[in-house]
Amino acid sequence: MLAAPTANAQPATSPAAPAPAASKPAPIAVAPAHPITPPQAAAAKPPTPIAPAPPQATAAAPAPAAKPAQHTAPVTKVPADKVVAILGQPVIGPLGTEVGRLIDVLVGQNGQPQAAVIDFGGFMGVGSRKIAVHWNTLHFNPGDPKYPIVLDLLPDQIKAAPAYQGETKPAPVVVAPWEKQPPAAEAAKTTAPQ
Amino acid sequence: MPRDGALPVKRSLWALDLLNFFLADVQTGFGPFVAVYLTTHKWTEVEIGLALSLGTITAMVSQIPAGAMVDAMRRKRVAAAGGIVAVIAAALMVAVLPTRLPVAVAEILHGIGSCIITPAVAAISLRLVGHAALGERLGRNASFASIGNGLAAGVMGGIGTYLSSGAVFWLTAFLGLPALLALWRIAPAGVAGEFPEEFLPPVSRRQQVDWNGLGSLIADRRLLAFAACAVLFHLSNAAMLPLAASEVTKRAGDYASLIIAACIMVPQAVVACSSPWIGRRANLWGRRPILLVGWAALAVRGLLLAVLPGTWPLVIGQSVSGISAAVFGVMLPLVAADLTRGRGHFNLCIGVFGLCAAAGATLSTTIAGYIADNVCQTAAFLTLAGAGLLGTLMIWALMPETEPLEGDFLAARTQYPGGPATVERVQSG
Repeated sequence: MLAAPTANAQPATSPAAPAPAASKPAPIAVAPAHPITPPQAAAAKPPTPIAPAPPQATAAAPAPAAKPAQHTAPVTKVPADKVVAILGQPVIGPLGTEVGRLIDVLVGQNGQPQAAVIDFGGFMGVGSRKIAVHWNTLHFNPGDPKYPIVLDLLPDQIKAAPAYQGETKPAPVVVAPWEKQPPAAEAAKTTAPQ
Repeated sequence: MPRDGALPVKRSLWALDLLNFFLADVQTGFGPFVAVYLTTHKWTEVEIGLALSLGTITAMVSQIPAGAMVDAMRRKRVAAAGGIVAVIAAALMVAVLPTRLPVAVAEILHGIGSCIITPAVAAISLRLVGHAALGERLGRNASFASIGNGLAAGVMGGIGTYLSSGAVFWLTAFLGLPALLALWRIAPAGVAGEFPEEFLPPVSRRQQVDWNGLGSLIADRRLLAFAACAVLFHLSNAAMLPLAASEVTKRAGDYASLIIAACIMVPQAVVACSSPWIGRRANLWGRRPILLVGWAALAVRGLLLAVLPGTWPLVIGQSVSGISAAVFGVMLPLVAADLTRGRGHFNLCIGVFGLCAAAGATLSTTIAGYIADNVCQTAAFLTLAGAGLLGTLMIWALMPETEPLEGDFLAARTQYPGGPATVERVQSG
């Protein structure tokens, strides 16, 4: 599931009009750029523009205040080069090589993404592993199709991490080795939501 | 070759080699790779799981009906062609429209298609060479199939990694065409040179599905024994490679994918080399010793994977699987042919064993995954090895020799081009 991290903060943006949906690379893309699961994909968009900054700024920022008392919700247009769709996208390591693919996002109660689940390794689908990495180990590059998602961790740092076993089990989240403080509190939150 | 009909038969046997080769190619793209492909199309874990389960369930449900249907069809080539076309269609649908409905339909088509192909190819083989030479022929089939499998895994793995994952399914669909062509080159039933029909089971003359056959089959204790052993085989076998491979991903660095590729391809090479030998030995030594070796190899492999340290030794442990895979691939249709000799329902019998194998495989990944997550990898491998050991013991204790006794042979056929100098019994039907 691509979670809807900011859905609570922005009712305005998420149900954005599916009709005029321009295809992904279009310069003036509307929020729902995805043919497959429009509502989720649309909802997933808003957090990404803020993502380059560490995840505290998210709360109310991008959405212009929704105009109340309308039957149809207003529509905000988000330029395609300001957001990046992340589900199923390759995750690039610090050495410029593909590490794996982002397959899920774990979101806390406050709507903040806590961790991303990455599927990596294997051959022809055999032997791949899933691990969760802390959200702030990731950087996003909207408008850069080659490096849409960059992970700060080296392959050797994640390969032996305990496997992510699905939403019902506590998620072991890999944090960047250079910061030791946040994980305890946040990892605790990460296990609960979803 | 001494017989007049030798030429068309020789051509047909060659075409059968190629058919096995290409069929294995076509089957390689499906399986775990589907999950990788769908992930790149923004499918979620849950959706992928549902689609793959749909395929598994279809394959299990349709094993027995597909076997009965192939039994009832006089023209086995048509059955095989139908199966191949279904798989081609499935590959195209997955490649063109990776959305829910088409993928669901594709999974169902592929499940049914492969359930038809396996018994149909076995039936064509039996028709071409007869019972006496069947062991050797099935060995050759398995050999060509694993060459195809190994090559396809290598090529498709490369394409999936460096080109695009969708291209794998285009290639799969494309490789179905030479499979059809090879099938076409096999002489149709009734052409001179084919194995004389009076030596074949009465089955080939029946035109409608015979469900009573199932009852009479299941009443056979030997069939029940082998069916149970087939469950245990896959219970032990199916989860070993995925478990070992994820262990490789965990331990090895940059070369993990290469090592896993080796874990997949090395056993195929072992199968390719050993299958013909196994097919011949099964005729000389009887079925039991070969079965014992194949099932015991599972236990050995599980034990090796449990205790071997490091990554490359895992490949060695994994390559032992080639022996058991070769034994299973050759012996399943051979034992089915033994058991149904003279009374028909050959393909139905293969369907029953196929269902058992699929059930064992499904249980295997579930059980081993649970143990690996909650206890440890080593315990999971030891459990799988235990299933293999249990299967070996069951064969030793319960499975009688199914190769017909020398005294039963009424007709000697020494010059048949498809096989060794062996003898053939006249069918009672």
